[in-house]
Amino acid sequence: MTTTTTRMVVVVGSGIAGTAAALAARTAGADVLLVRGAAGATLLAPGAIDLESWEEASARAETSVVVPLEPEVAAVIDALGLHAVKTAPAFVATVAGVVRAARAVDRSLLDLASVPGGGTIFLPEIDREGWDAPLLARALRESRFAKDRGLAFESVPSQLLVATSERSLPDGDMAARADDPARLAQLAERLRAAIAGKKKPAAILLPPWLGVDAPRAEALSKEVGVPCGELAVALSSPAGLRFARARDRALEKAGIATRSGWVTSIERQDDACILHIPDHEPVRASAVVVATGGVAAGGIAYVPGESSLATALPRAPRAVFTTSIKTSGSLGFEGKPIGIPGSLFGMAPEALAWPFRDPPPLDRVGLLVGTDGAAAPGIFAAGDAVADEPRTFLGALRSGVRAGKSAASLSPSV
Amino acid sequence: MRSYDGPEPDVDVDVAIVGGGINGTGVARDLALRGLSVVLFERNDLAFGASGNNSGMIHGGVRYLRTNPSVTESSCRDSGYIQKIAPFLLHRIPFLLPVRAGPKGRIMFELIDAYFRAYDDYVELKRGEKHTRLDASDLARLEPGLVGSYVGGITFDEWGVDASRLTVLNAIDAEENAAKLYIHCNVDGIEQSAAGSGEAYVVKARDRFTNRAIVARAKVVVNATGAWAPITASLGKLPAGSVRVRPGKGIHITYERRLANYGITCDAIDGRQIFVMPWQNMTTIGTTDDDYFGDLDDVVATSEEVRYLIQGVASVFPSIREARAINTYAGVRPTLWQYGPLEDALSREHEIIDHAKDGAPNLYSMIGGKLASYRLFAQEMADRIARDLAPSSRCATHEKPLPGGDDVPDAFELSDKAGITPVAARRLVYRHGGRARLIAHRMKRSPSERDIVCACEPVLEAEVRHAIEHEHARTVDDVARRTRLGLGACGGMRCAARCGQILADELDTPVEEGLASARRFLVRQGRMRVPCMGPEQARQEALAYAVHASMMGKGEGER
Repeated sequence: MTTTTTRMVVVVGSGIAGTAAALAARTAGADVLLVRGAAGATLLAPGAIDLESWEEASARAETSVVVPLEPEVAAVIDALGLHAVKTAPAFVATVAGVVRAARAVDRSLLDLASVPGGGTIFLPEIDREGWDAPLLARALRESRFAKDRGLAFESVPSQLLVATSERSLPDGDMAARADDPARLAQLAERLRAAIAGKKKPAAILLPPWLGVDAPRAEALSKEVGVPCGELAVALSSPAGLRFARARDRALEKAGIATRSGWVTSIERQDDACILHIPDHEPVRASAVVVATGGVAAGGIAYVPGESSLATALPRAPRAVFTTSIKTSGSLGFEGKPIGIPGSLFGMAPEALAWPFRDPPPLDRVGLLVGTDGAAAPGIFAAGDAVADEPRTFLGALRSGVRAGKSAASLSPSV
Repeated sequence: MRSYDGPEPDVDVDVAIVGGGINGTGVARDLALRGLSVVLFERNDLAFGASGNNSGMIHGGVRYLRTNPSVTESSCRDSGYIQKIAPFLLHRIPFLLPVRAGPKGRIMFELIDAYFRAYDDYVELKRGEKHTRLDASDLARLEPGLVGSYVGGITFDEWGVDASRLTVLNAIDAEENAAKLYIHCNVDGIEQSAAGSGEAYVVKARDRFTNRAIVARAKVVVNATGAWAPITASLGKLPAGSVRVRPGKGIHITYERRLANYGITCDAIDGRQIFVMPWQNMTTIGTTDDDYFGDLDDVVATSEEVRYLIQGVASVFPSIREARAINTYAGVRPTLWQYGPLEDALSREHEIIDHAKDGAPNLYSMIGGKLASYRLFAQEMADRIARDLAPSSRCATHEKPLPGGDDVPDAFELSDKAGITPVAARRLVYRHGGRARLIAHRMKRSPSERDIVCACEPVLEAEVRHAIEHEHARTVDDVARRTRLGLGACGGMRCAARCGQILADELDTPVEEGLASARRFLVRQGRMRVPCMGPEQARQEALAYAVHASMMGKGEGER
């Protein structure tokens, strides 16, 4: 598809950074095309969102002061409709048995901050791998948060599975079942049975099962008569799937075209950017936002000198990181470009990764950008693809908004 | 659920052994089987040192054939004994020794062939296969990953073994014969008693977690602390130089799958012989040999050493460069001290030092040795001690099976009976032999213990609890040493926290301690994994970092 529309912004990457960039560019009046690749950090995230890292936020949570979201950030959150943003920090239980703070959480997660002090939270016993209700209950019970608020966690016998096949079904599939109102009603019935005859709990904590198309915790809570919500789980969480659905709806509503494709390179031609996608016509844009993620997502690759060679020595030293898309702009961390190391073999990995370095360059490396998010003329970057920015959902969102606005404000291509 | 109090804090025994490696536990077992009362102190964990960080092979002493054939014979015979007492623990690793084409290629080939033909006479002792001779086309067919031109090669086989399991089983057998084990207990004093008090020595130790003081009064003390031996000797106020070791660091790299059909020997850039070999469900390359002056409690491979090994292996097996290295491990050999020779040229013999010459009779140090002849070394030490304390006893360690060594179940049958996957059953049988039935029984009693805790290996909850309840595991590292939990491709990303929770449950300690143990494990594993990080693994490290940060955090007071 070749296009010569005016003010065409192409966003590469469909995580929160790319989505925010696309929505912001659209709001600013540009035509937007979003090119989707594969799952990255956003799709693997547990649904608890922060602006600064959890630990910095935790230290601040004690004072219960939260920074209100900037209007442009709040607009994206509203468009997604996934997260409940409050004026106090949210708290969630994680699969590690830890209680962590967050600025806000996906509506299907149980926000422990909403549980009245002194209340009891039930965890139903379910014969599934990865969900050990007694162990989790014990770990949560002993958390400082629980002790401070006098919260009790108890595991209770239950019969939530309807078939033995559900013993080993992935969490995402279980969550998808909850999209079916009949199945949700069944789950509610079994939960009511589990709590019958006991003192009514303040909340019920569940595995990550509460919807893929949309969060279903509120609907379930209504039917059970007790607030229900998910445990926060990384990697296999349906929160990422819920994000994907919400994103698709928000993009469609905003009139943003999307397509799948692997952008291999971006070049400047006159005042436009040309994106090359294998087996497709090149795409022409006024400006591009690169939101392809960091090392974890594959947007940035670690390429020590010797990695592709069999027995020969590397021919020349080279920088140990590269972007998956060939483009102008320089990679760096801690504000400085990576540079060519004084070795044919690249940098020692001990200089790049946790726990030798904390925070690790591996996590911080990205494109160096100006205050407008520009990595090079016409090329903007957002999210984990940007060097040194906080690796958080709201941090990525904010950088996406910045990049989208800047990209949209570039004068139209001739 | 039980508290870890450990055995009594005040004991009178025949023999106190310091050191929970293969030598210490081997001697403990031997003496316990002879009816002597034994305590064993280990400051870190069983097999923490060289015993848990070696190549994972029982050598047959091939290299001694030319200079010292009696050593070859005793090595092979002892390998045969180890095979007999723990048949489930050994797995065959066939090796290829390719011989390069060149001016001396043909004659080298004949010489090597002849050498191994002589070795064939011994292999029956260790139930090994005789060598075979391959021409160049055979070599290419059997191992297509090899590059270079060869006149041919020979095959020989070694026995692979999980040496940590071997050590733990020796310790358990000793304990089942009334020995007392104090793991994570640091000896801080070895004093000679007042004359005429019966027991010659007072050994003082402290539990590193509970801080509980322990006192053992013993007639005999054995210093079996390997590379730490001079440190232990100083606790007994022995003169400097009474125990000398030349510590030699060796590292290995682990890959997440089998990359070669055979073990392959090759030359590193400095001519040292190194190898790549299939080992259980992974591949290992090794090893280095460098004088070590650092902290023995914290030996970590460096990316320098990793690059050296990979370069050497890539010269004959280039696909190693595309393979995904997932971990390293490093240990220090307690080599006999000598000033002058290169590390490789040092003797691998073992030696018992009788400190009577230093004014401390009935105090012995065990120095040097190889994994393959541990049982023999232990027997020599035990014979020496038994001369006075149990003169009519005889060694039984070559005959009596190690725990689980008798009646090893079929993995598929176990898989059916216990309701677990065949892979999980096979791994259980590998690590526990006949005792896998005990673990299966746990699963019958509590079906939730069938859950997989570590998916990479796999390790089931029942085995984790068994390791804590019956094998003295007190930290996530300890569980990993016994079950290989968290040592796979994901680096403990999914299983460390759960293991910590189970530890807290079994040991009745606060959950925060279990989580702290998990965090320490992840830090330690991170330091071992990063030096071999390649492009694919870098993604895994970035992912693991993000998961760790979002699920577990650094913990209070740990920043």
